[in-house]
Amino acid sequence: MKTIHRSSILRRVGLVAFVALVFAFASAVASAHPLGNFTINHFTRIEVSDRAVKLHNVIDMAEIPTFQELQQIDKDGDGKASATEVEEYANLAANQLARQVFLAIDGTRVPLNVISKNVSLPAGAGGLSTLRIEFDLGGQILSANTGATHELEFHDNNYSDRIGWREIVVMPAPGVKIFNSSAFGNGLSDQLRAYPQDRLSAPLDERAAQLSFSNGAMPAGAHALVSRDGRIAEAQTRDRLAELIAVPNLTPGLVLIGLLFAIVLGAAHALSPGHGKTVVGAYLVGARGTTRHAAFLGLTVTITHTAGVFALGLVTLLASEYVVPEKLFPFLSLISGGIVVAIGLSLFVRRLRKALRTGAHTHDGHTHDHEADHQHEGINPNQLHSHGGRMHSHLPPGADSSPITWKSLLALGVSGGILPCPSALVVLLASISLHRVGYGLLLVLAFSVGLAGVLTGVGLAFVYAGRLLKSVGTLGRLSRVLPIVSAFVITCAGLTISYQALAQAGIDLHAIFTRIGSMSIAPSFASVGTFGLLGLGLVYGIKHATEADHIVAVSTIVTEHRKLWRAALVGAMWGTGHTASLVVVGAIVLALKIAIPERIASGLEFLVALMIIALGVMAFRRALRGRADFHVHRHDHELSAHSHFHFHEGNQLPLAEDHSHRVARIGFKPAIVGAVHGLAGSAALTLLVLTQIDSPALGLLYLGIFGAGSILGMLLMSGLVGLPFVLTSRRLAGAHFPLQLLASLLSIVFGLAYAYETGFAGWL
Amino acid sequence: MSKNFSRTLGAAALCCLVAAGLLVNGVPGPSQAASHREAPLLAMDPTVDSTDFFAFRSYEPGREGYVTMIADYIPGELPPAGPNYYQLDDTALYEIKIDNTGDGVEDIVYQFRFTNKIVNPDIVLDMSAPNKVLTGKGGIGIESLSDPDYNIVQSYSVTRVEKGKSKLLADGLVAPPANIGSRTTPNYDALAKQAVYPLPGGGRVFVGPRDDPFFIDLGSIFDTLNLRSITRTGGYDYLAGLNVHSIALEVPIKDLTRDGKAPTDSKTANAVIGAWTTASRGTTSVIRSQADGMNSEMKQVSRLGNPLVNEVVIPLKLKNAFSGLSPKDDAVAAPFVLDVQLAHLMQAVFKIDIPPAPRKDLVAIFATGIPAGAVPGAPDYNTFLSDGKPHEMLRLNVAIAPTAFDKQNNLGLLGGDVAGFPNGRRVGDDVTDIALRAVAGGTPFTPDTNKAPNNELGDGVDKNDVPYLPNFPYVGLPHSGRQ
Amino acid sequence: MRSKLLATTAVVILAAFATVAGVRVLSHRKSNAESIVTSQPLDAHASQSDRQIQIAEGRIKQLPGAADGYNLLAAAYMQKARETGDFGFNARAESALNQSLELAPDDREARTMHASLMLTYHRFGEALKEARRIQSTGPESAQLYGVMTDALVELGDYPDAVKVAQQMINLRPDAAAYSRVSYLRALHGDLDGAIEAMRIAVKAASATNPENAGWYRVHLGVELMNAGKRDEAEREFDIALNIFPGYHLALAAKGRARTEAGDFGHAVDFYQQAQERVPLPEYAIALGDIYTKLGRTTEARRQYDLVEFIERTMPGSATLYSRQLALFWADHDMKLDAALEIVQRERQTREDVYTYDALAWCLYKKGRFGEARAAIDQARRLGTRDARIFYHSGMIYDALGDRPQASKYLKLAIKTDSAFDVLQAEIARQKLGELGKQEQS
Repeated sequence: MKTIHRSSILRRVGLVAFVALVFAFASAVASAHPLGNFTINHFTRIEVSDRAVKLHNVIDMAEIPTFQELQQIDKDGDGKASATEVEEYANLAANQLARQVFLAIDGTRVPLNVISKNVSLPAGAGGLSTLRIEFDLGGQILSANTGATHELEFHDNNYSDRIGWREIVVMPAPGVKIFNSSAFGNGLSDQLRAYPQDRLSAPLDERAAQLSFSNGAMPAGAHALVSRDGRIAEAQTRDRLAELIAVPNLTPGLVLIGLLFAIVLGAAHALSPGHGKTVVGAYLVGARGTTRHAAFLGLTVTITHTAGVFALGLVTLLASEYVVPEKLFPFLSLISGGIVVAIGLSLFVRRLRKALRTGAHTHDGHTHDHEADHQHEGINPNQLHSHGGRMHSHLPPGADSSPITWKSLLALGVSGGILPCPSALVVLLASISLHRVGYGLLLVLAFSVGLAGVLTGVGLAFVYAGRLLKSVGTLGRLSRVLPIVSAFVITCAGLTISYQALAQAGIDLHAIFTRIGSMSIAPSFASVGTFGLLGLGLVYGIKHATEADHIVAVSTIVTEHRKLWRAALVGAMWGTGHTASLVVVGAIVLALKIAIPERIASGLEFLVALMIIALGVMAFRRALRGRADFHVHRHDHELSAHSHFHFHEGNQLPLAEDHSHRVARIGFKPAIVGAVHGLAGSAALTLLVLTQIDSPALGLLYLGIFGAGSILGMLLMSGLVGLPFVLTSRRLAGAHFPLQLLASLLSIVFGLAYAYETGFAGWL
Repeated sequence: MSKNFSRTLGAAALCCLVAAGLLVNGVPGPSQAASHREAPLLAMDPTVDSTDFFAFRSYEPGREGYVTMIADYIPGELPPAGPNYYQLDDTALYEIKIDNTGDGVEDIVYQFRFTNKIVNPDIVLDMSAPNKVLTGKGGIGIESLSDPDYNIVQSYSVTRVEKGKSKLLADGLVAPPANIGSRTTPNYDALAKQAVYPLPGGGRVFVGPRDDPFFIDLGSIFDTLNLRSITRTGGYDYLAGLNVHSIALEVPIKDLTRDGKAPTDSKTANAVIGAWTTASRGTTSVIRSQADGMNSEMKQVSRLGNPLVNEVVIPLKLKNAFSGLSPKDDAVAAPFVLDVQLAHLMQAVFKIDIPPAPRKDLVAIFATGIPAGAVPGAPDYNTFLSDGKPHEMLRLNVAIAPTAFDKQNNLGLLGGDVAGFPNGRRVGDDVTDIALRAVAGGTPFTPDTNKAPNNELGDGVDKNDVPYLPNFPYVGLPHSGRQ
Repeated sequence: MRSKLLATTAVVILAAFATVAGVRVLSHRKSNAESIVTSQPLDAHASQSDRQIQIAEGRIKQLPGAADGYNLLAAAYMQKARETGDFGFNARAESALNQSLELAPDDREARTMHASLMLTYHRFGEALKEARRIQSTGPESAQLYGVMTDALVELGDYPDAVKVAQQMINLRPDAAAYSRVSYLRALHGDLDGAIEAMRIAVKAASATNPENAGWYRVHLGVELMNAGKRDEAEREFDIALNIFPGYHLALAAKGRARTEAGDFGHAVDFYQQAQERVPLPEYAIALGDIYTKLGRTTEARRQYDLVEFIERTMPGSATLYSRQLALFWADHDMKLDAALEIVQRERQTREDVYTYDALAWCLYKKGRFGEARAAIDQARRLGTRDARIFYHSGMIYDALGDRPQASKYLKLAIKTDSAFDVLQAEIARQKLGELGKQEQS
């Protein structure tokens, strides 16, 4: 029953794919042969390992030369190329072609022998058949003493008079370095399967290659192997998955091996960055996930990934001329990133609330704990055990078994699988063009399973790690913070994924940010219209808030506060001050169209640096003093420890003026700091003015939004930054002091560095 | 490195020439061979494309009584041009024209006609062939102009035309082969010296490949004056490493002047001559009537006098018109022109004051001759040769004594060397810098603007890549094809 | 006085203005230099056009907003198409031109190239119209005269063609002009004049463009062949192959020369080499005919099949090859209706002598001798000395029972080129023989 069901699905998918295939050819006609229908096109991949060189050659003949070849192939002249005839031809051709391929290492020609060969007759323009000859040649490297540098020279004299696409790709085996190469590290035509559509650029004409390689280190001054976009080509292992599909003839054994291998590859793929392993782990730990969760996660990932590949495969086949699949990848990963962020944030909020509630709850529940703490650091295991047990039960059901979690778990799985692995996609397409749809689908499935396996594994690992964690000494307390931290981690991971996605999409946030850092946003003006611009303003505002000097400054202030809302308020205040000065100065600059000179600009930057140092010093002093108070109280008698806490909650006598003083400071200090920051930033406004001279109104509006963004951003950031302080001040008085101290010291150091950079390096 | 670089640039220059040609080439499809023949649409015509023209009183010691005129053709010759080495067109007529009455009409003309002879036709179209080895008569290498290994021998005749009467001065003179390389042309200097021939009635002639004597930061100049350096040095000579073909002619002064005498007073009208070079090719009637055979009238296809009106800077759409024009008709070129654009360009780019139009100073330098007293301390040297109408030609006062080779200032008059441009033009005169200053008004003719930076402008290149010769033919040896 | 002064200023201003205008012309030079320096090292056997393509691409990178970068690219692709005989490059050239015209709709360079591209696509009428339009918008241009001449010749408007060619050569007597003069003279039966003109074209051709130089050589050789001077012709072909190695036109020309010399072995070699590079139908036809002559029927069959196959696959081959196909089918007594049909379609758009000749031959094969005669008279209206036209005339007159005319033209055919076609020349001789016998009896 089940099997029937599955196979029928496969058949259906296969069918769809096949229909798609027909369309594909209809659209392929245009691009079938970049140089027209009498070209003979060459592809060679030079694979260099430290013992041997393998040449993977593909020759793709357009319709007319194919016709001429077929006249040769068709020995019996029955107008058909029988299997045996093709087989004969393949042997003949491979050996003939091999003779015209020249490979020399260190100046001596390397004898080449035919490792494998395959001749196929894929249909080309108008269903007329084309000829595809694939043959691999192998040559031994004799003098392979480690570390030695070898010179490799290659050229292919086959059909040198025939016009056609000629592509050479170089691929080092792991451990081998290739440098000073005249050829590139990546191809353009997917081994002559898909030629670039671009009608403007000339077809490749790469007939020869020279390169140096070594199984040791790359000599200084040598040029590393680059890909065609000029970036250094990291020794990418070739697409083994795609090769599984291309094996000449399938035996059940091969299929089995193929599937197993696909699983392994899937696993390997999952280990490559950008698959939210951290997310999964963090989530499960935070949620105290169980094996069940992990398994569920794995299933979701598998299904999503497989489905994703199929979907994209169809898109590629059906709509390739409208949608370029590569262009889809970034958006998909953006989606997954978005999902993760959403999950992270929601968890973060919910758990934060919980944490505070739990804090109060445990507080009056277990006074003894505190005492125990204070008395002897080491706690007797049983107590903790039961405690740990209770804690477990204490945990609100929401964290592991409420439907929300299942939902977010599902979402997480989707986010993990939604981004199809390109090589899986290649497999699908290759399988279709080789009429091995079923096998292709199986491979993809196996691949996805492997992928999911790893993610699940990671998850489980974290789960047990999390459990283990709880059974270790005082860290037990940390397990309260853990859910929040994990949520935070998830959010960050999500942001990273999104960031990378955007980068793939060609939106280099870093560049934009640095530009926005100096606020010359002309390009954004140009690209997004007024509307998008304002959205942009918000985003950049938020980002702007998270710039190092801002965070540092704010964090020093935040350390004073032991309530989250206060910490957040500090941020908001900063943002307000920042915005105010920004808008005021901005208005002036925009109105008068004046430019703030470079010197003054860097002067202001310098001022900021000094301010940060000052803040750091103050925080430092406070940290020390705070420590002092602490001791006094504790030495009096146990209960004062209690009142001590109350004091920390923010009421009460002993340091009343200090207390009120602090409240006042919440109001102004951050605002002033923000204002100074804003002033410094406003210098960069001149750029904005110069670039956007025409629309001061719009510019001002942008500023406003930007400001709002910065308020929001800093509100969040200061909240996050404040979190550890708040928690530590509540639960781990011990940890609080070092944290505070660290923050203040950090800000001092940062301030000094910043001062040097802006002042002494740039300005003075 | 620099060799490669200049070669690359050479290739670039070459390619750009071809580019211009390509721009208009026809395109045969696969069908072309039989059903429809498409000839190329415009053959770039480097062989009749004049790159530079020089005229000066010979500064080779002992030759002060002569005037030397050099016309360079075939821009951007790449030294390694085998197998199709450059030669002048033996269907074209090359001329150096002299007007000694100031009406823009040539009074004396020197004509150069070329013939190619293939020694061994079995060696297909190769300038050199190991004919001695093949015939067992010696080793490889072109030792003399009569060496059988010089396989495509280009020889030429020199004719002097005066008042419609033409006189054949010499015939069968041989132009040396290209400087192919150390094996084929082992002793090129000596070989080339053999190609310097004396002419009846005094004077000498040389025709053959030479280093392109012009030096200019073309790239920067024509990138809207985006100069690496607007002073004399710091630029890049885009013509370094490239060859041209030079037609060098030395003539006794008296053979050029209005009254047939060598003037001594620079203030007399007969002291001044105007000169330019032209290349022509015969037109024909498409359908021949039995009457007219071939070569009906010759049609002038290129012309060059003053360096600033160098044909390369004439826009394509004006090129045909101007190339076909004679100095006497230069006035009709007026309608093409709108404004002294370059000056305004310089004003915008260099942020300098420029003299107001109309620019009498420039008119004087190029079209009418420099008026009396325009240059304090300088002889009023070529004002006399003018009928008031504009005639663009290179004016030379033959009564002004030449400056010794090692004493020359290549800023000419601006450098206080009255024997240099704009009194004629010597091989080494830095006309680019002079022109920049002249157009910017940084010359004595325009005192108001004769100040820094106007009078200090330059393209950053002030010398050639190859040394000039102190004696005839003055232009440097061609770069070897194998370096 | 004042006006005089202004006039004088003019010339100087001309110089200055020209200098500025030269910025455009010569800024190529600079950008070329840079792009070359920065681009990949040039392939040793990269042709002129390959270099040119690199340069153009570099230029476009530098100034994506400027039309001339794309013009340069288009020109390079058109040249590449010339060198390879591959139509694909014309498509590339066209897209480059479209880019250019989007940036500068009235760019004369781009428009001119577009007009010449129309020629390539055998859209002669459009080419002529566009060329005339551009010409009307600015100063005379030799290139445009060239496009017009070619279009007029292909359309069969010879009087106008002669007029325009005369304007072209008067404006600028260079290789391009002389080669057109040569062709027009040949069409009018003046072979010596044609050779003379083409010799000058060969001299004037620039060594900086090997393919072009080779083209002139090949066509000088072709005229020499038509004049029965095979040895001289072959020398020109050899030179062409030396200037531009592997030039398919030169290889095919050598093939033809060897065929006429009866040296079929080498003929086959040359045609095969030509076919290697560009599988044009005429090469397959020639090979097929030689194989037939040699009795190597299977090989002949293969070549004929290939002709059919190319006709099926080549984009637009129906129009591009209509004439060869029609003649091929007619010569081999196959697909006569199709042959007549396409050549009639062709005839509706052009009136040149060769189209009339093809039409006449197809009508003859269909047994419509009256119409055939009318057509062949049109084909001879210029007095073109073409063995094939004479042969067709002879056969048609024979079919009409006009023996004297028949033998006159068949003799002319043999006299003009005793081996004008491997197979047809034989038929011509047989027919002459028959006619001779009929005379005696």
